[in-house]
Amino acid sequence: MPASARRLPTGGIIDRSKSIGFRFNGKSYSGFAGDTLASALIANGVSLTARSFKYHRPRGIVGAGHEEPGSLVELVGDEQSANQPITTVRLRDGLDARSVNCWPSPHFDLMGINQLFSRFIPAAFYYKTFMWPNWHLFEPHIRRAAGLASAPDALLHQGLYETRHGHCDILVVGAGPAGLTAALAAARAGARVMLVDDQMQAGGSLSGLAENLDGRHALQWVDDVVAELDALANVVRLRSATAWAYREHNLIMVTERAPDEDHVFQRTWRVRARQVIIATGAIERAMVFADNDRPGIMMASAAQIYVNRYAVAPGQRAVVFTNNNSAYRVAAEMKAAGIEVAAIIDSRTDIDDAARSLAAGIEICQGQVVSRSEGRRRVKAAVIRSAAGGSERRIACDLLVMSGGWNPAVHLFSQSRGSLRYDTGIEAFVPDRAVQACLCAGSASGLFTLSGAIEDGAEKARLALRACGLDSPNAKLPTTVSELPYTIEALWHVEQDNPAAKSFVDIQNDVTLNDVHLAMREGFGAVEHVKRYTTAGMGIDQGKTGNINVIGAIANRAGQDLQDIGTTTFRSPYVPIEFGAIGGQREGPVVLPYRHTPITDWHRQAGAEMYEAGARWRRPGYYPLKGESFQQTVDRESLAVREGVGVYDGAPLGKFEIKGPDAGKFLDLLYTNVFSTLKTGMGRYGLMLTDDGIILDDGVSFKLGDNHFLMSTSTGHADEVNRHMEHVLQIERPQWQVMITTVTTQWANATVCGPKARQLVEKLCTDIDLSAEAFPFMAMREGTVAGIAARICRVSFTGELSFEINVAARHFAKLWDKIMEAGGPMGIVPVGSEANHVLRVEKGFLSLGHEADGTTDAYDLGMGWIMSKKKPDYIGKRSVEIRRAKDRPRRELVGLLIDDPARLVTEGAPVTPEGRRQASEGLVTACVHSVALKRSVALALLEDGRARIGQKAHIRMKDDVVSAEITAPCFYDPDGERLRS
Amino acid sequence: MGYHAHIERLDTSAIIDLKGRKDALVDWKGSDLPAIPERPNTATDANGLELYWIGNDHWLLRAPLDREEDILRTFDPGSAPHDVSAVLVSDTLVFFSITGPDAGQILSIVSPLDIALEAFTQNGVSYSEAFGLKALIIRRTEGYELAVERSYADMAQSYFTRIKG
Repeated sequence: MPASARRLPTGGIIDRSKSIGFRFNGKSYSGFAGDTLASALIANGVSLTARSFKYHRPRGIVGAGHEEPGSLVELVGDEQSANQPITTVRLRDGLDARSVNCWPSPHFDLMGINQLFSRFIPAAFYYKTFMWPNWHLFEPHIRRAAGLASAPDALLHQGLYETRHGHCDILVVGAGPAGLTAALAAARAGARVMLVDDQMQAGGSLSGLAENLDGRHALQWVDDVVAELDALANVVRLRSATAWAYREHNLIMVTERAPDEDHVFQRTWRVRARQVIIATGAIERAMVFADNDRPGIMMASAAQIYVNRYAVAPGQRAVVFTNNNSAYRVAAEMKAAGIEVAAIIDSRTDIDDAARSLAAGIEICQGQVVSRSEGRRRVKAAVIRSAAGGSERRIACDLLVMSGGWNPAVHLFSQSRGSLRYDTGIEAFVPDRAVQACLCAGSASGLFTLSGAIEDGAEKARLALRACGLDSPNAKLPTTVSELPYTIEALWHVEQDNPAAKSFVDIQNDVTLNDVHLAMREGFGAVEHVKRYTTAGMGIDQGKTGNINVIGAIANRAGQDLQDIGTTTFRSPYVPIEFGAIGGQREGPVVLPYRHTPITDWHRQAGAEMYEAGARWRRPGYYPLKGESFQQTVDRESLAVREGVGVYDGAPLGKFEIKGPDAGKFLDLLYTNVFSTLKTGMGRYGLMLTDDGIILDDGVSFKLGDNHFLMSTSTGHADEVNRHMEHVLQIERPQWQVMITTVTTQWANATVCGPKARQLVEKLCTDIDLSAEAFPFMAMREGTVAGIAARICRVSFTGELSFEINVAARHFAKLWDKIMEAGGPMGIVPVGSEANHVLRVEKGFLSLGHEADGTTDAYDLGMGWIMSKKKPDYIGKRSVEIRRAKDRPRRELVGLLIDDPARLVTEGAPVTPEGRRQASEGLVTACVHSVALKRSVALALLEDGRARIGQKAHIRMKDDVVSAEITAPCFYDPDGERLRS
Repeated sequence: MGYHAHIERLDTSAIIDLKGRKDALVDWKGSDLPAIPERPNTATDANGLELYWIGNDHWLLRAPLDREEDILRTFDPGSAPHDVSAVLVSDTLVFFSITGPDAGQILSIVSPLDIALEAFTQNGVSYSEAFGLKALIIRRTEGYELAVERSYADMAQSYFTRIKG
C-alpha cells in the first residue's frame, strides 16, 4: 500500500507541513508531526503490528492510548526501550521500532506454530505440566517463548533521569473537559494547582471528538483554558506526564516523558497534594466474541480518535458492534470522514430514537451480535446473528469497531484505597467511598456526557477548594450542544457457537473466555483466583481492558451480580515506567548513601582497601603493601599492635552527650549495670538490651560532670541506639528531663594502641599525666594533643594499652599526621578493620552482628556479671529473667581451637553433633589467624557450650567436617593486664 | 545545559546546640542570644549570631567560625544549668549554599520540603530530608543553605554534581 494511503485529505491536529521519516520492522515509512507511531502506521496501511503474548496470533492496533492491549513495540537505536504501547510512541525523526513477541517478523513468526497446539496449552497448563522434575528447568524457555521484549542492554540515558518533589493544594490528574474545568476554577480561586496529563496536548477526549463548546470547536476552548492556566504563577502544568501511583498521605507519583530541559530525559515527581481531583476519563471495553482479536478489530473510540485527531482512516468498510449509544456517534463521524459503514450491530433490544437518527443512513441490526470474525492477517468479514442464536449473516469489512461500554478509569482512586461500587445504570464500577483526600470528576466518576463532565469538574473543584479553606468564584461554564444520552445493556460475551473458538477477554495476556470457565471449573471461582489462574488483567494491562470482561464472565457463569464478584486490585504503575525514572539521580556512586571519615583521602593515598563496615561508613579494611597478600597484611597490622604500636581511625564510633537532672537514672534504665554512681572523669562499659532482653548495643559511657555524660556506642548501631533513647524519653519516660545531643561527627577519634602507645602519646601530649596511676584504664582526660584540644579516653577493643584521642573533626587530619610522624621511629602502622577484628577475637570481645546476633543475652556471652542485682529495674531485665527461669539450653559463647592450626573456617558455619547432617547445635561467629597464638582461633555460639569446654565440636563446611577443641572464649591475656597497663 | 544554580560547599560554622525549655534558656543567656524566634522552624539574628528554632525545646546558635571561642566563652557548656544543654557541634554539619535562578529546582530535587513561601517563610529554617538523609535547610535571600552531617558531605557533593547536569 502506498505511503499515506489512508490519510484523510483534511482535518486532524497534526502538522502536515512537517513530514517525519521512521522505520518499523526494518521498513521505512513517513508520517506527520503530531502522529503517534500507531496513527502513522495506520496512515501507511500497516495493520499487522504484533503477535500475541502466548499463542502468537496476528495482532493489530486496538486502542489509541495507554490502554492499547494489542501492540507493544520495542524501540531500537538511540531511543532503545522495551514494551511501549504502540499508541503512546510519539513520532519523531529517526524513530526505529519493531514488534515484540515475534521472530523474524509479525508477518512470519516461527512461534506462530503455537496456534496449532493452542488447545493443549490452556491457562495454567504449565503449572500442571512442568512440575517434574523441576519447574526451573522449563521456566527460562517458557519465559522466552511467552515473554515480552527484553530490557535494553545499553545505558543510553544514564545520568539523564531525574526525580523531584512537588507540592500543591490541588492536584488535578487529567486535562480533559472535567480536569481543565476543575484546574481553572481552582487556579482562579488562588489555590496552588498542579495539572498533569499524559498527552502532549491538553483536551483529553475532546481531542478525539468533533465537538463544539460555546459555539466553537472544543479545542479552541481548550487552548484558551491552557493559555490562562499557563499565565498563572500558582499553576504548574505537566504535559506528557502520567500519574501512575497513588500512595499514602496523598502522595502521587507522576512521570514526565518529555521534560522541557535538554539534560533531563524523564522526570518523576513525588507530588504531595492537599486535595486530588482524579479526572482520568474512562476506558472503552472490548466486545468478547470468537476471534475478536484480528488486526482491523478496534475500539470504537480509537477509530474515532484516528479519524478526528490524526486524520487517518483505519479502514475502508466498517462494521460497528456495540451494546451502548456511544458507538453511534463514531459511526456517524466515520461515515462523514468517507469510511463506508456497512452496519451497526447492536445487541440491545431497545435502541433510542436519538441514536438511530444520529446514524441515519446506516443499517442498524437490532438485537444482533457479531458471533465471529473472519480473516487471518486482517479482518475480512463480521459474521452476525441474533443474540439468541439462529442463522448467520456475513458482512464483508476491513474494519470492525466495537464498544462494550465504558469503564471509569478508577485505577488511581482504587490505589488510594477508595472503594468501588457497581453502577447498574452504566454497567460499570464507579468510585464509592474515598479514604484519602481525593475526588473523582467527569467520566472517571461515571458521567459520560460532556456537559456532565464539565459541571462535575467545576463542582469537584468547589469541594476541593472548600477543603483547602478557599472560596470558589462563580464562573460561567462553557455550553455544549445537545448530546446523546448514554444508555447501555450489558453484554459480557457472545456465546460461542464453536466451543473451541477463542473469544478473548484479555487481549494483551491472551486470556480467553474458555480460560475463565476452566479456572472456575477447577475451583478458582473468586475473581482474584481467576486472575492468578489465567493471568487476566496482569502485567502492563493492569485491568485497563482485561478486567471487567473477566468479572462479567464470572458473574454470568456463576449467576451472580458483578457487585458481588468485586474487582481485583489495581496496582501501580498504571502504565509501564522505566526504572531509571523511578531511581532518578540515585544511580552509580550515589545509589546508596555513604559516609566518609575526615581522613578518607589519607586512607586512599595510603593504599587502603576501603569498604563499608556498618552504618554506611566506608572504612579502611586493611593497608596492603606492595606484594603483600590479604593475610600477610592483616598479620602485619595485628602484630604491630601486639608488639609495637598501631593507630586506628575510630571516627565513626557513635557518640552522644546526655545531660539533664535525670541523666544518671536514664543511663541506669538503658544499661544493665549502674552508671549513676560514676565519678566525673571515669567511664564504665555497659550492655544495652532490648525490651526482649536481647543485646542491643555495648559501649563505654563517661561522666563529664554533674548530670552530664558522654556515651559511646558501636558504629553500626549508633542510629538505632539514638532511636531507642528517644523512644524511651518520648514514650516511656516523658516526665524525665534528659537532653541528648549526637556528637558522632563532632569528635573524630584516633585510637593509638599497643605496648608503645603511651610512649607515643607522651610525645604529643604534655599537659596530661599519662601514667597508669594518674590516668587509669576507663578514665577520660581533657587536654591538648599536638596542640589540639582533645578528649582522651583509656578504653581498649584490642586488648592492648590504648588511648582514644578525640578531637574536633576539622583538626583530625592534622592530628593523624602528627601521630604518624611521632610514631614513625617506633614503626607505627595504620590498622584497618580486619586487624581490629583479629585482635578482638583473640581477646574474646563481643562484636555486634557476630556474637551479639539478635538472639543472645549477657549470660549467653558469659557476661552475667554485668547484669546488676542491685537495680530494681532496667530495660530487658524482666525478659531475661523469664527466659532464664525456663532453664532451656542456650547457645553460649566459647572458643574453638581447630585441630588443624592452619585451617580457617567460614564465619557462620554450623556446628552439628559429630558433624552429622542434622539440626545445628551452634555456629561459628568468627574465625581468624591469631598472631598471638600463631594459629587459627574461632569463636562460636554453642549449645551448653561452657559445660563442654575441653570436648570436641564439629563444624560442617561445604566439603568436609572440621573438628576443634572447645575452649574458653578468651585466647590472649585473660586477666587484662596489658590493657590496664 | 544544566540548571542555572551555583552550589558551594561552605566553610565550617561555629554552632552550639541548645536544648531546654525556652524560659530556662532565656534565664540563662537570654540577653546574649538573638530574640527567640516566635514560630517554630524560623530563625532570628543579631550581632552576627543566628538562632534557629528547629525542634521542641531545641535551638541551634550559629556564627562564623572565627567567633567560636567567643561564643563558647559566652555560652560555656560547663556553666549551663542542669535544665539547659549547650553542646558545641560546629563540626557535625557541612553546609552547602544553593543560589541562582534555579536554586528552588535544585532543592526540590534533593528534598521533599515544601519551599513555597507560604509554607517555608522568608526566615524559614527546618530539618527535613535531603538525598534520603536528615538535613537542615535554611532559606536565604539568594537561595538556600542545606546542611548534612559531616560524614555525608562528600556524598552530598557528588549528588549535587549529578543534579546540576
